[in-house]
Amino acid sequence: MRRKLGLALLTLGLALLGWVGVTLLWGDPITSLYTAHEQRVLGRQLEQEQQLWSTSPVRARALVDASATTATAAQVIRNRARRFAHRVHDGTPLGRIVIPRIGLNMIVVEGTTERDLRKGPGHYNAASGVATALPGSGGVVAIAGHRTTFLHPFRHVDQLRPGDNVYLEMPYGTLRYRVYFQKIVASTDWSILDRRPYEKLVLSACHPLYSATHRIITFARLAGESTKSRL
Amino acid sequence: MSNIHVAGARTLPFTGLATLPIVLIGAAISIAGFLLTILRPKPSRSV
Repeated sequence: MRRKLGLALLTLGLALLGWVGVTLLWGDPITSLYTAHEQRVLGRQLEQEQQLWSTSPVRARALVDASATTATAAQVIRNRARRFAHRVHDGTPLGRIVIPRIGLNMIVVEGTTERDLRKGPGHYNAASGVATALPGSGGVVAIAGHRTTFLHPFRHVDQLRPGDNVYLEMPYGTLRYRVYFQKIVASTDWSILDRRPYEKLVLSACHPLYSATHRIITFARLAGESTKSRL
Repeated sequence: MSNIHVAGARTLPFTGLATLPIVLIGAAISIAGFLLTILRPKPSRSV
């Protein structure tokens, strides 16, 4: 009896250690199943949202550089973002984040509560502590993502380099940001959301992989926008 | 657990996994199991 109990405990303990090893090496497979399901649900919701916007009479424009020539496109997107802000609530899909460098293509959810982040990368809103802007509306846009669990969207965020592109495909348009800086900060450092004269995208994730004492922050700057959604 | 309060300071959204406690628990359970497996109970004294 005593020996059986010992073997059971030994197996359980080794299984726990094995799970930690697998999670650190490749990401947690159990929570990822849940997130994959939630992403499919969000995908359907986002498709419906996209249909609403694609039937609007606003003419689509090609992706152009965010210079003086795009003042009209920027204005259209800003107005659309303002309208879209009334439609998003905690837990609803916002758009898609695509980062070719790290092979990321996931739907961003509104909010950064534990529940929101189980579904996918989350957009900082009022419930996060500091509400950030919707993409294309100017100001600071911030998104948080898991690194080891829940499909670990930002697992390889540390591999991003200056010049890499980050796309946010929203129902009302597509925004392209270019990475310019990355740093490690304390978990209480909210200065990462300080405004800049340009639209700033902030990606945050826990750091290092086996801890939550710090955050790895990637900064990107708006480099192009289109009224055409690629969703 | 998005806004954990550590020493009164609000933290940025939590997106990680604190593995150290899990490792410690796993190690403790494994050691306990190992000891139970190898140690034999003391024979009871017959009066």
